[in-house]
Amino acid sequence: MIALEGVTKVYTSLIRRRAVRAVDDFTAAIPTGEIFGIAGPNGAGKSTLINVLLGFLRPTGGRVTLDGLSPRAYVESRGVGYLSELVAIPPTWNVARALQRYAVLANVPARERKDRVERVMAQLGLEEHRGKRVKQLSKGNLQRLGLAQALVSDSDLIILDEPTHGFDPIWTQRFRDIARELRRPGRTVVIASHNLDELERVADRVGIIDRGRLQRIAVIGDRSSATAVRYRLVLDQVSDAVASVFAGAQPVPGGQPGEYLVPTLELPALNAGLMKLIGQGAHVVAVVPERSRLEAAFREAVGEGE
Amino acid sequence: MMRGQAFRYTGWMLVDRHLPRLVGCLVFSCAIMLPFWLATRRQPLPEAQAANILAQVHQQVAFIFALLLANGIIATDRFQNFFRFYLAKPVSPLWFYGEHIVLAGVFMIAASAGLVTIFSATVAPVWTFALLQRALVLWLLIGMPIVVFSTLSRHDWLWGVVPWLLSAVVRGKWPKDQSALGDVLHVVLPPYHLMGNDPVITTGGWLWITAWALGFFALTMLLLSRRPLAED
Repeated sequence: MIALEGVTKVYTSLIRRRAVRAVDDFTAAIPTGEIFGIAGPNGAGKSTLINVLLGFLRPTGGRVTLDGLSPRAYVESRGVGYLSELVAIPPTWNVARALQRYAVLANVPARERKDRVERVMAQLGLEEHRGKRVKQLSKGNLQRLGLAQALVSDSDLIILDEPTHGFDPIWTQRFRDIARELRRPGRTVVIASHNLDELERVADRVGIIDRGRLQRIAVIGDRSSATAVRYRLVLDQVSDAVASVFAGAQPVPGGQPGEYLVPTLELPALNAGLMKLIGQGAHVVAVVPERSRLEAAFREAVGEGE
Repeated sequence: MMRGQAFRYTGWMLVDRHLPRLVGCLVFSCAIMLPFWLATRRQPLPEAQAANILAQVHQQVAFIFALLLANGIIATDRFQNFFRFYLAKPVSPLWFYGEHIVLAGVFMIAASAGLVTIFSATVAPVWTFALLQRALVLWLLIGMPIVVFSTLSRHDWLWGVVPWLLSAVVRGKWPKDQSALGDVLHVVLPPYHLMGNDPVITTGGWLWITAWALGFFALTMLLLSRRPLAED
């Protein structure tokens, strides 16, 4: 269980004494076994919060505990599978040896070490790069190596900061599978990302942070309580019935005939309207949320809602 | 404490940092000895003169060794962010960097022994333990301040050189036994005057050097425990 109580981090410049509140009174509880996402615009405080969680930064105010321990006490006794936003590995190390070093540090028993390293290299498609030096890796491959070193320790707490940064679409998709495989009883996973689609697919809950403050926590699995969104309704032809069934529905500006934008609706209202429309003889080709529920919640939380 | 096997990462520490630096020191030693070797091939040096030359060369070169071996132990990891992956593992920064500091001290003695051995093998057989003792003093007086500032500054090696230079200037201007101020400064300033080849280090001198080095080591550990490495 991760508990953050009123966590505040203020950076003060030594010369001008100017203070920046990177994290401001952040309170949240992340139960064991959960995949928790942290979403926020650039500079929102996500990475600072993660640094505080790992004990790499000391909070200016508030309290952080990981299973009842201070961050450093937790990390030094159990270790954390951590991927930083910028992957920093000595450039002259080669891929396989780098993972062996991290496995040694992670206390992986000697008899399991080789297999563990081989497994994460296979999981992240690094076998063909095993002999390459870190400085010879592309951005995406370096990111995969960073992720591999986080996974090699098989920790009960995994913290990933922008894990798909630099990934191509194939590896972005593969990451979602890996993230789902990480779920196990007793393991907590924290993923900070500005990729809302990614978080919506893997996380149980997502804390939306802006200007250092936790704006809201969106529960991904709970569709009924999720924020309503606008839908794009596509019929096989133009229908006058749409405007009477869905108040405020408009043809999509510049869209094909039969395409409508249906204003924000909860799911029961949307389904009832569609039944009515079909009952009146319309043929529904598609109903697509114009943006994801998390994205709608995110825009609302950071003050960019409609 | 580093949980699990306390010295489990020592082998990699040696491979990644200390052995390459030792090799560098030995290559440098060979390069320094080359002119002496060439000169003495024609005419061997008297033993006393050879011992004197070795002491002079050792004094200069061991200073460079101390800078080379002490610099960047913590600063490199801090400023290049390598510490993030090391210290997310079940590793204490005190143990991790404490081990590095002790290993660097051991390799300072090894590099010094290498220099003396190369000289003895190529120029004149004047191997002496006294120079290893000098190397230890250099490490304790120059290396330890560098290590402290490695937790704070990118250019940690400057903190080995600048206080030594300033101290030499102040001691030169107000020598001991010539004024009350000189006597006070002699006690207050770091014991850099014990680094040379001439002074015989008394028990009191060793205590002074040891207190100085332990003080800096303790300060390094205190900074590592109190000041997280991502703090600017």
